Amino acid sequence: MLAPLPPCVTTGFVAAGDDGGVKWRWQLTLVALVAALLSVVCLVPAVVALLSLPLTVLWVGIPLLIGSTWVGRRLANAYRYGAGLVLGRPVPRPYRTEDQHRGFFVVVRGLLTDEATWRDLLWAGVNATAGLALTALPLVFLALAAAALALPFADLLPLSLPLPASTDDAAWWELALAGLVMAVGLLVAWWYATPHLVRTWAAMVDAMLGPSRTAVLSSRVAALTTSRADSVDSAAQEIRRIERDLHDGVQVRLVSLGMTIGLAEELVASKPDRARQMLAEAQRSVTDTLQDLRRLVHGIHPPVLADRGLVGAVRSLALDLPLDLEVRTSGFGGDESVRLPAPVEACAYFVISEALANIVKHSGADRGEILLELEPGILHGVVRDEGRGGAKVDGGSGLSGMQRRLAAFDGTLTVTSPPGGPTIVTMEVPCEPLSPRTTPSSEPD
Amino acid sequence: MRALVAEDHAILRAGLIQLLEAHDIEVVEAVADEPSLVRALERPDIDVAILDVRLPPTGTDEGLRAAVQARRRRPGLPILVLSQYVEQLYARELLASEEGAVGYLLKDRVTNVQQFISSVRQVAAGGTVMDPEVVNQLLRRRGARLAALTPREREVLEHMAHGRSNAAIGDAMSITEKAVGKHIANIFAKLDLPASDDDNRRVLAVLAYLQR
Repeated sequence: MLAPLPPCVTTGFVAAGDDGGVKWRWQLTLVALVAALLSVVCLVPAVVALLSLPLTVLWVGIPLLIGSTWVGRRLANAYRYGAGLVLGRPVPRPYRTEDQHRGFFVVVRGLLTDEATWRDLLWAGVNATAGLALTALPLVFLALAAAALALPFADLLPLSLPLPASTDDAAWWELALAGLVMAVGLLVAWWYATPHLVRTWAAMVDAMLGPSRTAVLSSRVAALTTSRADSVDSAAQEIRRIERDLHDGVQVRLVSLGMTIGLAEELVASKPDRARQMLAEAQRSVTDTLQDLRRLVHGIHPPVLADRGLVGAVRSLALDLPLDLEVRTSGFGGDESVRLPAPVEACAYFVISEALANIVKHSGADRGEILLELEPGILHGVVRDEGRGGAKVDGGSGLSGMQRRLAAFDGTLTVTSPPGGPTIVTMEVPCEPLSPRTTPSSEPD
Repeated sequence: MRALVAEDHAILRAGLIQLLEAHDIEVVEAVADEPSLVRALERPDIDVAILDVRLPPTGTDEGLRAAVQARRRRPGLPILVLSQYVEQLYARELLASEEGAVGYLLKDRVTNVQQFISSVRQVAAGGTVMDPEVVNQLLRRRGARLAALTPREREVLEHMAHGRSNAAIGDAMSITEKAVGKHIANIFAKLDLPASDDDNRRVLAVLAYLQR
């Protein structure tokens, strides 16, 4: 059996929920403590970096700038990690990835032109003020609460009165009570304020230290450019293949068919037996041509996919292969009639078909499992076998082609296949289902 | 014999009607879309319905759905489904009702007129006819299970799965009908299937075994 799909991975303890109790608040307070302590430390590399800027003219500034930026980035990463814990999702690092083995000058130019360097410096300033205020408040509440509890003792000590003697004193009890009330009030304030304060702080870290909107958009543009180029490429290749198949297959057969019929026509009077023989041949040729056409159509868009959608087509595929395949689905409605956008259906179908073909060709397994799971906004597909493993997604393999195909839909393909198996191919594609029984338009038979 | 034809391409519809009427099969109604097919399948006077899987309005699998529904209302209503392609899934759905009187053929088979007409008559008489493509796929997929059979027995099994009678198998393999019967008895014993003299029940048993 397949293990159930892992739940969405969360990195933070906030995943425990907003109703998290004492432990959760202590964790938040701990993050706040570390952040508050580090906020002052952060100023050091920032100031050094700023000072080293004019010094770069004299060579001494260059190592200073590189060193201080290096330290500053590590500190900023610590903040990203802490904020990630609070937010329950990682705060991405926006730094440009640098090539190794480059000259000092190139490195410095890279640092200076990286937007993230300047945002880090700005952050150091904000962090030492607003950041410090936000993270220090929970600590202040706790510290004051502790002080309030200690109030009677603290009040008595400077007066040099012996402690045991004063225990009966009514004024001392009043003071102790007042201290207790204050401590409770401060603890309540800590209880309610801490989540808001620390979350605001984390949101600030995310906004200032996460990739800027421009950076997010430009990396998205880069990804889209690649996937578009791949799609255009593979579409062009596909059209070439179809053209070749029609040209070299169907067309040639039809020409020869025409010739056979023409010959038969000539022979029908003189050699009727020979003519009949040729007509029988022509008929066989028609059957073969139709077979070719069917194969071609199936490769472009399997008819059963148009008829029944992804689940039906995958079930049909499973029936065709020389494997014992268990198909499990969820989220496709009771009669599995929920349809997805046609391009996504086709893409998912061909990915699963490729994964199954790999089982047949390489795994040595005689059985496998397919899981199709439609969750709001995302389609998961898992193909698993208990074969010999060792499958790789590399350059020329069919799987890497599928990866590119999926990329056009922002989908991903991962393969885990340790030697000795099992091989698990996992596909994820963002998609929204169409309304039930909306069948995409297709040519009638 | 009276037939109902459902086919949306006018040329093919006309061709089918011509073909059937040339062989003394009267086409009482010819329809071109799903709603008229559903209505026509209610006619009490049809001996066999010959229909295309894909029909308007959506041009997907209306024909097949209409066939499966009609047979739910009228068990044993002889239906021969024609398609541009064969799918095991559809074969399975058609065979699910277990009454026989069902056929599933590639449209190409129409070109072999004699065999096509004999398939129509077989379905009308309550037989089961599966396209060689369906059977071959099943045999490929289930090859390992049939390891115990001799090549001769495999051949008989294949013919049987196509829906041929003992006599037809004997003709095709140039052996006596008695020899065919012996092979069949051996096959059923080796595959541990319940023996039966009824041709149709035998075909269904073999197909069910291969689909398992």
